[in-house]
Parts: sequence; structure tokens; C-alpha cells
Amino acid sequence: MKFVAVTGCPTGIAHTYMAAEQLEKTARELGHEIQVETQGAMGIENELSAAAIAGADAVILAADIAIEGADRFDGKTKIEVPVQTAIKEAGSIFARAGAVK
Amino acid sequence: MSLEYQFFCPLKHGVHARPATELSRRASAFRSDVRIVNGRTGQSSNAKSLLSLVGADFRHDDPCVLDISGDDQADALRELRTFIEQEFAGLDIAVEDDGRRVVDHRLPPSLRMCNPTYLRGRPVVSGIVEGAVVHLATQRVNPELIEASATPVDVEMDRLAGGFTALVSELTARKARASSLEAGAILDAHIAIANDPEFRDQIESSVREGQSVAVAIQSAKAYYESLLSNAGSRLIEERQLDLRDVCDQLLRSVYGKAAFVSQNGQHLPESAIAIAEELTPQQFLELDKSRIRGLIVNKIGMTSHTAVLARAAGVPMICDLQKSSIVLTDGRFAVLDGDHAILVVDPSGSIQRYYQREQTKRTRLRQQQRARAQLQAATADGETVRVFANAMSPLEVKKAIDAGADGIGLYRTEWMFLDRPAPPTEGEQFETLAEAVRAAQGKPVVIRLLDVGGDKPVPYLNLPVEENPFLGYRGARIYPEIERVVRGQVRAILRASALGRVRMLVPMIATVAEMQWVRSLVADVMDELNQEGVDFDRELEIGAMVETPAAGLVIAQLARVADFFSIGSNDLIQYLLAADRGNERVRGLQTPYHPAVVAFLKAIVDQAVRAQRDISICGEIAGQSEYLPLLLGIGLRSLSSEPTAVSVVKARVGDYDASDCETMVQTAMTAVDAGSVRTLCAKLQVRPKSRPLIEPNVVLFDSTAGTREEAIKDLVDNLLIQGRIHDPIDIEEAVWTREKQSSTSVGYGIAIPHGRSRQVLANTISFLRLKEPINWDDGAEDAVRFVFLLTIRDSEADQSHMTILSQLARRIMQDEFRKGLEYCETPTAVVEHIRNHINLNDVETTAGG
Repeated sequence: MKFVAVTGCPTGIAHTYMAAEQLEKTARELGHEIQVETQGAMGIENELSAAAIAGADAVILAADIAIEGADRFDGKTKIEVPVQTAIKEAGSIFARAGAVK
Repeated sequence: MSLEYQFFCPLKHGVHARPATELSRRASAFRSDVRIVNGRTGQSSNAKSLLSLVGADFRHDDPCVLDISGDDQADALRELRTFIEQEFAGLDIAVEDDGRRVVDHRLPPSLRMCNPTYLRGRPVVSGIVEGAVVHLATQRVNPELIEASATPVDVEMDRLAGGFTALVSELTARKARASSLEAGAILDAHIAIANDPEFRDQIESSVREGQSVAVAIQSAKAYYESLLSNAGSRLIEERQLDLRDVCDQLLRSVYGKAAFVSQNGQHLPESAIAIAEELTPQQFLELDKSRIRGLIVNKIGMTSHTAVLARAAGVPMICDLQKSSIVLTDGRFAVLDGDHAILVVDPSGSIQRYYQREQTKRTRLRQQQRARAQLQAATADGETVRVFANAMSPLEVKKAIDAGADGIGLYRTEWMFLDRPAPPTEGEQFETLAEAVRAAQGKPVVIRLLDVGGDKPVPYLNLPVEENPFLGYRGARIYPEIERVVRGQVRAILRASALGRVRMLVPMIATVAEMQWVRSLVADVMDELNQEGVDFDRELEIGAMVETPAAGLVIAQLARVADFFSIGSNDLIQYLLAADRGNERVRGLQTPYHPAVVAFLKAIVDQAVRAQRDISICGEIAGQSEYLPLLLGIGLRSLSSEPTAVSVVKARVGDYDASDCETMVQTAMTAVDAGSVRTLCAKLQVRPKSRPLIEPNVVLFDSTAGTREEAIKDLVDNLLIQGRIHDPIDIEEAVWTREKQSSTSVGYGIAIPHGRSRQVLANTISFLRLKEPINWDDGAEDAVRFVFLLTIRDSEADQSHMTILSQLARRIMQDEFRKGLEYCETPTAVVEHIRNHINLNDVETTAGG
């Protein structure tokens, strides 16, 4: 499957990036494609293009903050989880995505 | 037929002294007998007796019956019923917080989260000690009085009656002169006890039975003490002190001074935290310092001489302990935390561990600062700042020089003159001063001429006791009258000047004439010594203390007769703000942050610079690092603090840019109030330091921390010791604010607490390896063994460092990185490992800002 994701945490120093790393790593292990945008203390990095969003089967929002540009994902299948879940149980997120699809 | 009125006790804290005093006063206005029966205990008490009321343990909502019988019972009932219904409840007080003290000093989160039970005071001498609380008895009843047999009953009765009359009239007179509401209220309570019918009856019946007045008073004291200590309310237990006081005063008014002998050798526990209402310097000196670990004195200003002695002896001390429902019974175990000005009672295991860590930190910090203190202090932008010490004995001079002081900025000589029947001889003075000058090892010593007035006991000078000694006859003003004494001192100082670098300082200057008087005396003494062929420094410089606003406004004129200036900020601030520093009610005004103080100090320093005269500051604020940006911004480049503060001040100077401070002071002078100036100071950015993000000295192995709190404290303390942060409390707060949003335990046995703060001097990745894994938070499923603490400077320009941190965060998710960490056996290996996985070089070469 193809995923896009956004991660973000309140201070934007650690969890944002850990979640991004974990989602990327787990997606690789499960044979999925993923692009992760981080919204941390350095602002938005690896920003998702409209095309990437359009081409994704599902959107993972792993954030403890209100993310920027949430309207970009209107109409898409969204899986919204706390950032901790992406770090600790990334596998379950992809499993959920499979179920909703 | 008596009259009754039933009610429920409306007082939340029960009938304690204040409502009882008022009720007994109202009841005493009637001829009728007035009793109250407590339905809960069945006890009946005399409503005219304060002691009977407070001893009966009336608690909130107890059913009570007021029982009145006598010829004016109807009036009494009407009046007392109205009083109980309308006023009684209003006499209760909020016990926990009397609200007068503005909470200024914060407690670190790692202590706060241990939930300490504590009482706040005001800081006097820093340091941390634990021990058993003990109330100091400075006198005890003369045993001979107790042993002597009674004279005939009618003689004893007359003595007692006379004693009561004298006592009440003395208390009433003191009440009329009372300087504050608080003092007045205490005297009211004392008068009420002295007039208490039950109390008097108790003593009188003992005397009628053939006891002497002394024995009768002592047994009444014992009786009521036990009655009050059995009362359920702690507020009432506290009345014991008042009762003891009244009994002692009564003894004194019957027997005069012979009633007491001074108490030396009170049995003290091995580690005692001594509590005293007042403590004179003499009493302090007599205490067994091997047992006294800490000191709490209630009536004392920050500058009292007892405080100076305690500081010199290294005894942590706080004053003005808050009123509280916590009763400090003798023997209760406590920690006196002089740094945060609190007394923590019955410290739990976690609190004791906190303080052990705190002690370790203090020791390491002191070593670090001492090592650096031998170097010349300079601001981050390169302005040299000389840090001197205040001292009052050769031993203190030695300590100060060892601690890195650039010299002695204020050598107090009063100590040689106090508490003795005659002034010291010139020879004696010379011996002491010579020792002090030698102890300075060639560094300058500024010796201040005798600074005494009506507030300091120097019996042989016959100084008048004055209504307001701080605006009275003191300092240089008294010199012409005691010329012989001053001459002796000048001779001793001049002789000592041959042995090192000595300067002379004249206290309490308000006019040019006062300086001229001293100069001509010095010139005269120089001639004398010349003729005698005695060696001295012919170029000896004479400076003026600037502690009156008058002196501060005529620096240019004074510069003609003064070779240098020293600002005595304690007095100067009190005079400028017209606020007595010993008066609790105006203490809020007493702050160097007042824009008037800032502007005035700046004007003084500017004038001195224009007149090309050295100027330094030697008040308490010179040693309190929170004021350092203010002092640097005012233009001061020479400070004189307490010896213990020297290394701290020196270490802090380099945290600031003098030019930043100067800009800040320009704004501070026009600020609306002290609060705004305080904020300006706190917001001043400390200068960033150029350091690698991670070094072996921020990698801690085998930490014994047993909780998240302890782990974070260990890491933050180490950052302070390594000079990577400024205010550790601020850093802890930032880390805990983040931690409370959601735990930073990320699984794999790793936690990455982090925070951003302006108080960070150098961005850091610190690492802690725990000896035993700890449960990071209640929700964490696995125990934490490795802790990365990321402390980041809170400013805009740090994006490059963020890259590093985001890299670290990503690496933690990789098995290979984590495995490698497990194998690291030295701090250096950890640093290498991290450097191998994260490219730090780009960032570090641009670091520093």
C-alpha cells in the first residue's frame, strides 16, 4: 500500500522524528511505501506534495498537536493516533489501515 | 435562675487564642458568672478565662451551652449572644498562609514533587543541614529561688499582688509603644493571660497554701503547659510560648534580675537546628557550634550581626519563619535548607535522598568554582570585574583569599570594639590588622573605620539610646566626640599599612566636612608617626562610603576629599526608599529592583567615573548573583561580597555581556515598578558558550537515581557543574513541563527528557546510564536504563542544533544504534558512538552564536 503521514509533538524536539523514523522503518519491513512529513521545532520538513497525497491509499496522522494544513487530507482515509502509538506500536497502525481499506 | 444559650462552635480552627481572648474580654465586662459547657467533652470552662477557654479544646461544630448567672445576666446574655452570632467566627484565621510574604524564591521541581512539609522563612545564610529542632533557652529560673522556703503567707501574697500590678502596667505601656500590629496582638495576648482569673486564682491558692511566689508561678506554668499541650489544636499548643513568657515576666517583676541565671550548656542534641526568638551576637558566640548545625531566628534583619557571625561560622540560617499550624516540638527531625529558606519537617526518604544529591552537587560545584575563582573574572565581552570579599577577622581574610577574592573590599572593625568594657588598645588593634593584612597576601585590604551607633552595644562610648538610631548619631558623625578612640584606630591602621596594600574607608558620610575632619586627623597622626620614626604607607588612600542619599548626590564635591568610593547599598537603599529594613510591613519596598535604586546607583557610579575615582559596592546585593546583571549594567566593575559568594559571583560574571546589561539598565531606569525591573533582569539573555554538543563530562555512568525525579536532577545538576546552564530551576521546570504533557519514555529502555530555556548557556546532549533500571512513569511498560537529556537554548537561531536532535531521535529507533550503546563501557565510548552515528561537526563549528 501507499501511505503518507504527518508527525508532530508539543515541543517538536524528539517524538516527531522518532515517530517518523519508526513509521518509515516499519513500512519498509511490511513492504509498504510511505512518505512522512514532520512538523517539529524546525517547522515543516519533507512536506507532502498534493500529488503524493492524492496517490496515497491512506493518511496517518501521528500527532499530539493540531497539525498544519489538515484540510489537505479532506476526503482521504485517515488514521489518527497519538504520537506515542507511532513510536511504540507502528505495526498496529498499518494493520488498522489494512482493515479500513 | 441562670440563663442559657446554645450554639455550635463556628470557628474552623476551634477556639484558639485570638477568639478566646476576645470572648474572655467581653465576658469579663459583666459581674455575672459566665461559663461555657462543651457538649462533646462535657467540660465546663470559665468564659472570663482565656486559659480555661483554650484549654477546653472547643472544636469546629462542637455543641456548646453558654450558662450565665448573676444580677446582670440578662444584659450579659444579650451582649454575648450577639457577639457569638455576629463576630466570633470572624476571629478565626487562615493558619496555613498568612499571605504577607510574597513568594519569591521558587522550589526546584525535583524537591516540590517529593511533597515536602515545610515552613518558609527568609534567607540569611545558605547551606543545607539536617538535625533535630530545638528551642534555645537563653535563660533559666534561678534554682535558689525555687529552693528558698516561703516567707509568711501575707508577705508572699503582697509580693504577688505587686508583681501582677507591675507586670500588667508594663505590658500595657509596651502595648502603647508597639511598633506593629503583630507585636501589639502578642502583647494583648500576654495582657489577657496576666489578667486571666483562673491563672491568677491558681497561683494565689498555691501561695495561700504556703508556697513561695516563685514555686507557685512555676507550678502554674507546668500545669497550663500540660493543659495546653493536650489541647487538640496546634494553634493552642503554640500559646505555650506566650504562657511561658508571661510566667517568666511575672517572676521578673516579682524578683527582678535575680529571677534568672543565664543558661549556658543547655543540653543540645548532636545535630541541632536551633530556634530562637532573638539571638544576640554574644549569645551566638556562646553556643556550642559543634552541635548547632543550623539556626532559625525570628526577629532579625538580613544585616543583623548575628547573621554576619553565622555566615562566618558557616552555619546555615533563616529568619522570620512563617506562622503555621506545624508545631516544632523539640526533637522533631528536620532539614534546614538555607538556599531556599525553608525548614522541611519530618523529611521522607525521597526528600532525604534529594538533599543528599543536593549536597553532592554543592560540593562539586564549589570545587569547580574554586578552581576557576583564582582566575580574573571578566564578562563575556571582556570587561574585567574585580570581586572582593567583606571580612571581619584575619581568619575570614584568609578564607576569602583562598576562595579567590581579589582582595578585601570591606574589613569591618566594629568587632574589636563590641561587647567589652573598654576600647581595644592601639597595640591590640595593630596585631589584629597586621594579621589581616598579611593574610591578604599582597592583595588590597580596605579597612573601615569604626562604624557604630545607638543600635550597637559599646558601653564605654556612652552613646545615647535613640528612637531611630539609623537616622541618628552614628558612623563618622560621632568621631569628634570620641576622637581619642578614632585616633588610636587610625594609628593602628597606618602602622598596618606598612605591611601590605591598605586603604582606609570612612562610614556614614553625608558631608564634605566629615571627610575633611578624618583627613586632617589622619594627616596629624601621620606627622606623629613620622616623628616617632614608625613606618607606614605615606600614600594611604582614604575613601568615603556612599550610604546616604546626600553623599550620592555630591560625589563630585566629595571626590576632592575622597580617593575612592564604596557604596554601602544596605543602608543606601533603606534611606532612599524611606523603608526600615527591619520593619516587616515595609519590607516589600526594600528591593534593589526599584527603578529609583537603579537610577540612583547609576548616577552615583557615573559621577565617580567622571571624577576619576574608583567605586565599588559592598552591600549584600554584591553577593547575590540575581542582581549581577543590574550591577554590571550600572557600570560597577568592582564588587565586594561575603567570602562564600566570591567564587559564585566570579563564575557568573562570564555569563553576561556588560553591554547587554548596560542596555537593560537604560530600560530599567524608566521602568514603572520593581516587578518590571526584575523581569528585565530575568529575561536578559545569558551569553551562549561555544561547546561541543556532547563531551565525556556530560555522560554519567552508573547513576544511583531511583526515580525519574532523581535522574533528571542528576543530569541538570551536572549541567550546572559543567557550566552549561545558568539557572537550574528554570531548566528543571522546562523539562518537567514537557514531561507532564506526556512521558518521554520511548520504549527500548530509553527516555529522552528535553526542554528549551533561555537559561541554557550551551546546547547539550547529556547521557545517563542507570545502575538499576527505573520505572520512568506510571504508564511506562518497560523500565528505563538509558536517559538522554536534551537541553536547548531558547532562541531563534538554533535550527542547526535541531537537526542534530532530530537525528538522535531517529537513531534511537534503530536497533544498531541502541545495541552499540549497550556495549559502550566508558563516557568517551558513548561520545564516540554518538559521533559515529550523527554528524555533529557542521553544527559545532558554527556553534556559539
